[in-house]
Amino acid sequence: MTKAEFERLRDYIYRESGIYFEDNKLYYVEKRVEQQMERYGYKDFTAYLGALRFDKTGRMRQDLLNSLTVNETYFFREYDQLKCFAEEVIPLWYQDGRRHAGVKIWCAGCSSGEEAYTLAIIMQEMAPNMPYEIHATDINTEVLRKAQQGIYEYYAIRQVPEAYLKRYFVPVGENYGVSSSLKRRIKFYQVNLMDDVAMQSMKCFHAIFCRNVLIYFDDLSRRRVALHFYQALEPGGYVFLGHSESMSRITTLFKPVRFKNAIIYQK
Amino acid sequence: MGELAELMEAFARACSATERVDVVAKIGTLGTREAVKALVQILAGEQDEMVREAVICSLLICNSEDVAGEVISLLRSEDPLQRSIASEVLTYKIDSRNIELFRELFKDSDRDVRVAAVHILGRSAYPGSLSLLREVAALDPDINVVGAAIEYIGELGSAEDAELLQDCGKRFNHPYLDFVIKRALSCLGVEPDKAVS
Amino acid sequence: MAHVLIVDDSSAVRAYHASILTKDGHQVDFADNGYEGLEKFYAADYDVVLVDINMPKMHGYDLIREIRKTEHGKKVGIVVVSTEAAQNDMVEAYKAGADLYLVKPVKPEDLERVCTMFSRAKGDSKVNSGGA
Repeated sequence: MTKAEFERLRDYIYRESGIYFEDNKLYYVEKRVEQQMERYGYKDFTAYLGALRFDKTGRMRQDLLNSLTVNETYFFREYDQLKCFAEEVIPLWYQDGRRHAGVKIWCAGCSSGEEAYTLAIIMQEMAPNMPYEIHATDINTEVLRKAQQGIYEYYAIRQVPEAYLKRYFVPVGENYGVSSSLKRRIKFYQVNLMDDVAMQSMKCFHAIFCRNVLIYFDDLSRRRVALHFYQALEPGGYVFLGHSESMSRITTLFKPVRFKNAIIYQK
Repeated sequence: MGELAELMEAFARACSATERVDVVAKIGTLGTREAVKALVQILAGEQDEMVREAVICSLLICNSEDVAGEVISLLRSEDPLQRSIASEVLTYKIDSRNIELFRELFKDSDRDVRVAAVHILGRSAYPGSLSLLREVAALDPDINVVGAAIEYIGELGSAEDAELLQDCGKRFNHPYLDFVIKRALSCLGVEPDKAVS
Repeated sequence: MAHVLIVDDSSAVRAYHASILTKDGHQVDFADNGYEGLEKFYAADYDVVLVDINMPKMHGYDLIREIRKTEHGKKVGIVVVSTEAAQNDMVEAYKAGADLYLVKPVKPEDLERVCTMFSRAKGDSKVNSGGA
């Protein structure tokens, strides 16, 4: 990939996703573009770019953006945001009097459960006397089954602080099982984010975590999901997206709020 | 027609923004030009952001000819919010059936309408946008319109556009255009020093 | 040296303004639409924000009003850089809270002068506040 080709593509990627690749990321982008070109059968970059730009289905764009973003899941992923949630948002909930009324948290697109359990650990540690519900949903019943099982390899728990590992996990052979007391705190069930009826039944949440999920959707779908999220939230409720995601490419419904550790979106 | 009238009544009677969102979603599924007109009408008067967002979502699923026909005029609105929404929606709605409507925009005497049209074309997934952008770059009298067109030619075009870009440089004398042309040529893999006189 | 945020939906215009400012030693960030401009504004301390008016997602007037609601935003220099050149466009911009209005296409010396001016003002305010 020449520098010129990189710059052409970079502007397009930035416009579409808000992700800007600095010059030193040329190799990173090049490798992934080569994979995409092979996948779609293009030998010439200009031809690939033309097809990408004019693909009305948006499929090629989605595939490119997916390949450019790192999409692994593990406990305590994107720590700064979780720190913001733990040290800035939860205290605000106390200030708002949620200590007695409790909070509802939605982990949308929960995959195999690492994020949902992470949130439960944070609530246990930072808000031990605040009632809470965590609703963890995904379209994929297979990953939901794995989430409910709650057994993880070392790679998934490698960022879990030692104290929490002792407190919330039990050894299961060479793996780590989430304790039954933590499992009980989460409701795992299937929801398709594109199903209007199902989405309309999701109500009264105080926070929605939908991190690195919406990047898989096209523009219209993301917009529709964001509108459902807005309706699912209580006034003042928060949306947490992945750190490389931005509402600026989706909708202006939510207000960006600056916290010390992150920018979060609020209804 | 009857169904739309009922829905518009329901919209007027709605007690909450949530109810209005539901009605807007139903209007969006009607698939008629009148439904699109109704949505645009709602947009003009709606203060609630959530309902406006629902209107946008509904417009995005409506037929592209109907949407282009009704929304294009919003590009001339005094209200910057309406213009902004129109630009966003129209970017997704250009196709071979309504491209002539967009071509007409380039005859508008208002330069800002023409600049908006360039950005809509340039950001769209419509394959025919490039040839229209070339025409605009070659013929528009305004430097901002031409500069915007050149930006997208640099993204979508090829080395064969070098001569067109050089000719644009001859029509205007401003460092902005020199910069934009140089940048576009560079993106197209043409060495600017060799190309620009 | 000023920390400048350029908010414009044209990548070519952003690059043009950035090329002028970085030559002068200013530090530059950018945003593609008004909403992203607000996010970026929240994320860092800027001395100057260059704002286009006609942008998707959030237009320039709304962005200016939101910036001015914040503590830091009350002090930041806001320069509208727009193709709209009518008197009432300028009035609208100043009412929203802009400090200056430049008409596109901008001449390099005009942009340089404006950012240097805000940079100097920042330096003066630091002197006045004991060099914080």
